[in-house]
Amino acid sequence: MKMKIIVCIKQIRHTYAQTGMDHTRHFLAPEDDVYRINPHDEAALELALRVKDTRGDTEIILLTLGPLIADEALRRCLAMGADYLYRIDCNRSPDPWEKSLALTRTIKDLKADLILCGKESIDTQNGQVGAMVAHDLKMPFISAIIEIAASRDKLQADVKRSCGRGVREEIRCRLPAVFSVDSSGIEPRIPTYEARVKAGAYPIKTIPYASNGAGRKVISGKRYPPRPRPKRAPAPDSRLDAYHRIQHLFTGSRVEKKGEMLTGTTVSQVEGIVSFLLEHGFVKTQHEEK
Amino acid sequence: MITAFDILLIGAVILIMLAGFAGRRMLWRKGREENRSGDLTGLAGYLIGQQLILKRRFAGVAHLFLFWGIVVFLLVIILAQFPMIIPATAARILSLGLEILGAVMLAGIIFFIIRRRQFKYISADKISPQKVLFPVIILMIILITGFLAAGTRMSIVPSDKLWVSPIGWGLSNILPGSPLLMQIMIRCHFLAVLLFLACLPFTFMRHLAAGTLNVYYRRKGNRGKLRVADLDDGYVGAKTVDDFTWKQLLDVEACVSCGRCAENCPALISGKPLSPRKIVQDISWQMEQARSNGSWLADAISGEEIWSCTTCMACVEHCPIFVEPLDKIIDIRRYQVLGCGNLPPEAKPMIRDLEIFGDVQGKGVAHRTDWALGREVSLLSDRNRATDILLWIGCSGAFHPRYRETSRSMVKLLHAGGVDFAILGKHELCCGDPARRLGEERLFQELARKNIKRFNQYRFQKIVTLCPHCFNTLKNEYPDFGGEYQVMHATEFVLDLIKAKRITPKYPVGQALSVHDPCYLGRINQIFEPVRDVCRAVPGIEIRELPRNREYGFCCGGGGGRMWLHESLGRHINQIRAEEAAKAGAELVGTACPYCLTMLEDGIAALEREKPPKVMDVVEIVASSLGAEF
Repeated sequence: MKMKIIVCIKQIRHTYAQTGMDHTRHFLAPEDDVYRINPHDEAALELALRVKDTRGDTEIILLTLGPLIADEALRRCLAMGADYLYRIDCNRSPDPWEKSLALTRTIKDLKADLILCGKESIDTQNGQVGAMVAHDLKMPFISAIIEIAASRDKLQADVKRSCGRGVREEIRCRLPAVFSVDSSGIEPRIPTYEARVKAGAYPIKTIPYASNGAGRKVISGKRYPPRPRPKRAPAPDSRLDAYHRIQHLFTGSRVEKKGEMLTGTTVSQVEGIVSFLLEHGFVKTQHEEK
Repeated sequence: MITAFDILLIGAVILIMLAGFAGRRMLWRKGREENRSGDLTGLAGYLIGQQLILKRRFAGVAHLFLFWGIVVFLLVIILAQFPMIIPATAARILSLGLEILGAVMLAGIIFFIIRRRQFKYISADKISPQKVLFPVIILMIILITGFLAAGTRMSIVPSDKLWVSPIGWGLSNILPGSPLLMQIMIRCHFLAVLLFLACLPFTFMRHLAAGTLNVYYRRKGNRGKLRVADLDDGYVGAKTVDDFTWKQLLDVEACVSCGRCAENCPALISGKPLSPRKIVQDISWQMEQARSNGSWLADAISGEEIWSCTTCMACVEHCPIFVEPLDKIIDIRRYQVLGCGNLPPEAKPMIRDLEIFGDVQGKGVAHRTDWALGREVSLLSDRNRATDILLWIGCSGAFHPRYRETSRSMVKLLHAGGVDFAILGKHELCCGDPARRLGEERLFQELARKNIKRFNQYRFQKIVTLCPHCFNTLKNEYPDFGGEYQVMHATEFVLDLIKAKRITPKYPVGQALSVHDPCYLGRINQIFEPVRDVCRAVPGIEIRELPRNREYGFCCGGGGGRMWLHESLGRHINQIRAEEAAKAGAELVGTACPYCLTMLEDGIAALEREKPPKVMDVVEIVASSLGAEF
C-alpha cells in the first residue's frame, strides 16, 4: 500500500557571524546571514527518502510554513527526491504553538502515515513543534531519531534514537506517528541536475492560513531580540573617533549573566520555572486570559 | 615485374585498408559535435622532428627511424613504378642509404619487441595493450625478407660494387644462389607489405592515421581549461561513450597504449587503482564493443578509479600524441555527480559549504577579511578610483590557518613595494575550482558567474592570485563565461617587483632550498622559472632541485578535490613527495600553492624525521627576507 510521509521543513535565516559595525543592528551585517533549510529538517527528509528507497511505493510531501525566504534551498530539498511541496502562508512570525496548530490542520487535511521533522531549528532552537504536532494529532512522538525502518502494512516503525553522549535507543512505535530527527551522522544526498531543473520549475502550492489563536492553552507574550553576543574586540576600528571606539568596546564587551539556579527534583524545578514565568507576566494562565 | 594479379591484389588491399579506416572513422565520428580547427604547420613540425616522442630517448629514436624508414621506403616503392633515369652513382648511394635505413629499422623493431616483452606494469595498470605485436612482427618479416631477397640476388649476380649493399653482400656469402629462393623471398616480402597495409586500421597501427589526425586537431593554447559542460543543453557528463565529443573519441582512437601517462601518474605510482592508460583503453574497448548495447562507462571504470585522480595533468603533459585522459575522467565524474548524485561522502560537506557559504571551509563570506585584521588592506568596494592590483586571496588564503600567514606575507610585500592594491573582501567567493574538478559543474558555473559579475562592478588593471588553482580558473576558465582579465600569479608579480627593484630581499632565510612545482602553476600554466628566480633573489639561497622537477614534477596529492577526500588506497601521495623532499637534504622546501603547502607539511610531519625540512611558500620566503621594517 502506498505510504505517505510528510516532512516538515523550516526555512531559516542562519546567522553565523557578527561582523557589522552598527550596534543598533546588534553588529549584524547583511553578509552575516544565509538563508537555508534547517539541517535537522534536511536530515528528516533524507530519512524519509531512505524509507522511500527501501520500500518503494512511498509519497513524500514537504510542508513549510511562513514567507518564502529560502526559495532555492526549498527547491533543492524538492530535487532531493520529494514529490510535493506545500507552503502554509503566514506573514507573521508565529510561536511554536501557533505553528503546530497550522501544521496540524494541514496534516489532518493531507493525511499521512508518518510525519517527520527536525528535532529543533538552529535559529530559534525551540524544539517543540514536533512534540506539539504529535499532541494535537494524538499520535505517538519520538524525538531525535537517527534511523528508521517503517512498514505501512504492519503499521509500525522501528527507530533508533540518539539519547546524547553516543547512547542509542531502539524503539518500536505504532504508525501513524510523529518523529523528530537528529542530523548527526545523516548526510543529505546531492540532487541530480535533472531533478534540480524539474524542481526549479515546480509551482509551490500555497495553503492560506488564518489563525485567530483560538483554542490555545498557552499564549506567549513578549519576545526579546537577541542580546548582542559577548564580542571579543581586540582592536576597535582606528578610523573612528574616541567616543565611538569606547562605545564599541562597551556595547561589544562581555555582559555579566544574572539569574538563579533552580535545584531540587524535576517537578519542583518545573514548578519554579512556571511560577517565574507567571510572576513576570511572560505567560498567562487560561483562567487569567478569560 | 608486376602482374595484373598483383595489381588486383594491391587494389583489394588498399580497398580493405580504406574500408577499415572508414569504419574506424564511423566509430569516433559518432561522438558529440565539437569545434576544432586543425593546425597543418604544427603537424608538419611534429612529424618531422617528433620532439615529443624523443623525450623518451631510445624508444623515441627507434620510433623516429621506423617512421622515416616507412615514409622513405613507401616513396621509393611508389617512385620506382615510374620509368626514370638516375645517374649510376646516385642510384648506388640511394641503395646504400636504403640498406642502412633498413638495418636501422630492423634494429628499432627488435628493440620495440624486446621492450614490449620486458615492460613492467605498475600495480593497477595491468591492461594488456591489444594487437600490438602482430603488425610489428609483420614489419620485421618485411625487412628480413627484403634483406634475404637482396642477399640471394647478390649471390646469383655477384656485383663488384660491394659497398653499395653491404648487408646483401654479407648475406650472399651464406645464401645459395637459387633464383627460386629469390622469387619466394620477393613474394613473401610483397605479401607481407600487403598484409601490413591491410591490417593498419585493425591493429594499434591505426595510430598512423588517428594519431596524425589527433596531432592535427590538438588543443592549442592553454591546457588548464576544461570543456564547458552545456548544462542548459542537457549535457550532464559522460554516461556512455556516446556522450564524449568526437575529439575525445579520436583521442581514444589514437592511443597506442605506450604507458607514458601511467608512468607519470601520481595515483598509479602511489598504488591507487587508477591508470590513465586503462581509462583510455577501457573507453576504446567500449567504443568498439558497446556501441550497440549502450553499456555504461561506469561498468568498466570503477568509482575508485575516477575519484583517485588528482588532475595534476601529468598524463596530458607526457602523452606524445596529445591524448587527454584527464578530460575523460572529469566527464565521467560529472555524470557521477550531476547525473547520479554520487559524490564521495567526504566531499559532500565541502560541496554543501560551497553551496551555502561560498567557500570550501564553510566559514562564510562574513569572515573573508578576518585574516587581514589589524593590517592595512583596503577593500575594492571602498574605492572610487581605479585600482592597479586586485589581490585575489582565495579560500585557503582567507581561511586556512597556515596559508593565512602567506596572505599576510603577500600584503607585506605589496606594502613594501608600494603597490596600489585592494581585495574584494566579503564580495569574494570561491573561484569554483574544487567543485569543477570534482565534477560539480553546475556549482562551478554558478560561482563563476557570480564572481564575474563582481569583477565587472569594479575597475582594476590586474588580478594577482595567491593560489595557482584560482590562477588557472580565473585566467583560463573564466573567459568561457565572459570574464577576460589580466591574471598573474603572486610569484610572477613578486618577481616583477624584485626585478624593478621595488623590493630587495636583504636577510638570508636559509641555505639550501628545494622547489616543489605546483602542478597548476608549472605543468599546466608553464610557469617554472619565476618560482626559482624569486628564491634566487633571496641572499644565500642555493636551489637544490628535487629528482622530479618542472614538467616532471610530482603532484602533492591535493588537487582535483583530493584535498578533501580520504586517501585509503595505496600510499599517501604527499608522503612520497615529502620523502623525496627530505632526501634532497635541503632545509627549506619552497612551493607556491596552498594545497601543496598543506599536503607537504602533513607528509613531512608523517615522516617523523629528526630535522625535517621546513615548507614555505616562496612569498613567505621573500617576505621574511625583507626583515621587520615593513
